[in-house]
Amino acid sequence: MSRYIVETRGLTKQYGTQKSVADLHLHIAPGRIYGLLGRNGAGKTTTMKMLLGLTRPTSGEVFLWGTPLPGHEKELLPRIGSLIEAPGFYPNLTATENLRIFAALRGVPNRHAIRDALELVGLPYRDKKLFSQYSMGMKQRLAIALAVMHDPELLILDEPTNGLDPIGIAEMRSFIRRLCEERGKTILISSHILSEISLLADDIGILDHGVLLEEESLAVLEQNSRKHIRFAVSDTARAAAILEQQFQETAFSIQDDHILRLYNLDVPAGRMVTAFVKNGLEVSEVCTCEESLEDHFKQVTGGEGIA
Amino acid sequence: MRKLVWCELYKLKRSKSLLLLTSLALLFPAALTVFTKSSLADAAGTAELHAYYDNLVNYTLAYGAMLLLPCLFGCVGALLFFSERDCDTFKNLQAIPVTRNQLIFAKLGVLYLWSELYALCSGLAVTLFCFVLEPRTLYDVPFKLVCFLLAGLTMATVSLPVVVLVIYSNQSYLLSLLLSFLYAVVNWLLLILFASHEVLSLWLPLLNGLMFVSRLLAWRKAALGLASLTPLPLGTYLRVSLYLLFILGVCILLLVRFYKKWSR
Amino acid sequence: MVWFSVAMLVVAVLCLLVSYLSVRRAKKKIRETMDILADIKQGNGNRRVLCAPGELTAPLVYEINDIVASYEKELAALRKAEETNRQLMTSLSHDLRTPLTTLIGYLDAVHKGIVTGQEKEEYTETARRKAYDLKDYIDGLFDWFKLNSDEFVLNPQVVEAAELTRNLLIDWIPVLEDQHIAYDLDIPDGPLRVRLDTDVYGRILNNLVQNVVAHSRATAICISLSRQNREMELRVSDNGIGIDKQDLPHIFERLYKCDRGRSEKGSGLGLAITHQLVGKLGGTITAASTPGKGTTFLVRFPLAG
Repeated sequence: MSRYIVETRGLTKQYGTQKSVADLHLHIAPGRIYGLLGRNGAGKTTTMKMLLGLTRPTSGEVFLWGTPLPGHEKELLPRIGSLIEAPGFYPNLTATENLRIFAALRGVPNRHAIRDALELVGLPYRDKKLFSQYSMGMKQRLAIALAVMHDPELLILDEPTNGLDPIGIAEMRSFIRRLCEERGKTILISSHILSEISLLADDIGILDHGVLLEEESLAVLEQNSRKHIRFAVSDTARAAAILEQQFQETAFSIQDDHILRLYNLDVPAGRMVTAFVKNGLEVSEVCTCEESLEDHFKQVTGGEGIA
Repeated sequence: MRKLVWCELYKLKRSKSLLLLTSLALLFPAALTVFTKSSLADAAGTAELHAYYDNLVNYTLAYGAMLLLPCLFGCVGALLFFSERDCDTFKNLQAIPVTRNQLIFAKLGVLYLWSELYALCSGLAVTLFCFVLEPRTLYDVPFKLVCFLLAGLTMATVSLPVVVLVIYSNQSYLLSLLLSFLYAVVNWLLLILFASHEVLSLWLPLLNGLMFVSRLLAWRKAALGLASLTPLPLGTYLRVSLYLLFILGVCILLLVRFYKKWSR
Repeated sequence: MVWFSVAMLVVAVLCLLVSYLSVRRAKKKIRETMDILADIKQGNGNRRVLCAPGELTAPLVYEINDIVASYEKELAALRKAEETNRQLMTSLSHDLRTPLTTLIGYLDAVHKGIVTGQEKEEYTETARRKAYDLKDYIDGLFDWFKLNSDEFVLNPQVVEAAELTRNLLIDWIPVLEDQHIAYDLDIPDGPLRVRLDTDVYGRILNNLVQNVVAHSRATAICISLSRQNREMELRVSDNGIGIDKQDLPHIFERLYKCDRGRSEKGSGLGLAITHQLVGKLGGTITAASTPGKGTTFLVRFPLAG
């Protein structure tokens, strides 16, 4: 079995001469929430569609649970729950009836799957209300119910908070967290909102104009994007004592025996280096890292940033 | 497959347009009964009463199945085949996974089922109206209903091109309706223009569609001693069967091709 | 007679065909189920066998899923405990490294004779203080993990909260005076009967006041107790530096420190532990703050009876 639930190799989708997705190498590890971040039209939906076999890639391969998708749809796709673009259901049927159709076609894991799924998203079971009378938020909830009805291992959710009010968004966020933490699901979620992804995801992939610019865990990104001065010295213990004693600086962390990060930029860094050297320390590197997470995204996407 | 067909039927729940279209099955039986009611007054013997019933059945088959069925068939086809396009549910189905071809065959199955239902409804309607007017006119009812069922089957096949046309043009329901209507009228005109031309009439869809039905009715009458039967060469039956199968095959191929276009 | 025989033959063939097809379908379903069960056996407890309601094998499949799901639930609880332990290990190695290395830095300087005389004394004193801080931090860490591992046992009883609060605050008065923090205590005389664990309540109150003393740089503190509908409300507010808007939602998270540049010491555990403790007692805690103006913590417990 593969280390990754989802892995793509050189995935490319070309519409005419324009590459919607170019040479994508995506890696989603089990039990994690992977946030695909990108502006509208960056290729998020196309990527997700290719993962589900809804769109045939121009080139490249999709591996799900280490198995190539083409030819194994029948065994792989039922293990995925998905929500792509706007929710689509039959308007002349009620929510329960709509779910019943998909339950009959795909199968469900237990007798009360439809009722449980509706309860989970807060919609009434066996309600008389037709889908056409639903509000946007309720439609979105029903789409989520459809995605989780068969208790899948992997969830692929394309902008799941679309059309929800702020309370709904917060609920959805904790709902997705719970699915991941309590039920061990792997979740791929896309969004164009940085704050949403940074609140939810464990790993982040940044997609811009069809190119995956960066793929990294949020912890590492946050660590790297904190404003700090990085000192590489021969003895961090000694350096720490000097910082405290001579410069009254306490806001630092020690990475290992040689790397020290100082989280205060208004310091006489030059004098610090002199003090280190005077005390017999070797200083091999000093650099200032002054990016916030948002700055970082702006930088990797090359400009305007992500709203 | 059985599940898919069940789902297709389930999707039609509460669909008012389908109910409306199916209820049109009663249109010709009712109209014909009203217009021919007077001729029943002159009828004296059992033979004449039976002839009246036969006539009504024949006319219903001719108008209901030949003129109206292709027209309605196109609309029902649009209703079925466009439901995924209009509700945006194809992605949900594909993620199950249900393939495009499975879906097409399920929808075709439902189309045929509807056609049978329509034919049966008109058959039952004719019988009911005759029964109300004069119970003695009825005879050999089960056999006539079987004929209606067969007419539903063959006329559905003959009407398949209109579904292909509707899918190909990929328009709204109203335009699909017009298109189906056009197809039915053109068919009808062709029949009137070329019915006397022996070679061409062999390939008229409407004639071929009702060929088996009319022969069955004639046989039955001969068997009951009510009329004589002029035998047709075996080749004719073979030709009609092959013709129908050919239409079915070509239409399925085209359907698969055109349906792919927008559902990609 | 011939027609009858032909009809019977056709019916017989049809029956055979139908039964053959249904057996084939059942076999295929069983084969698929077996494949999935093999995967579950490998340890993938999230896998489910899917079956449409009303299918032949549905009751069997649903039963299997139930069993797998219930075992998976137990396993998930175990995994959570394991995760807590792992976090403890990571915390120990990560969060302790900085203070410990600094401590070593001081001791090394003393040991190697880099500093002498008065400076040496200062270094030793700093090292000693740091060692105590470290101990406090480790105590906090273990508290936090104990709270999370459900080993923590509560001993709740109905108590008179006003009296209890007053007694607890008496100990703080010398500290506040020592730190030159003006205090305004507003504890009602009337009885406020609340179901509490007195030890835990004490820790909650102490943590909140300690937080003000250690981190807020406040010059005044106001602690009040009041009855709000069917709840008791404890309010601890200061006029200190406040908490930034973007930090406010995170202050009850473990190891969250608003800005490392500001806090001289502290583990980032105090408020997380307080939050946990309040939750264990069935209460709620919220914080509101205006940067530069001060912070208010509100703790609410339902009144007893």
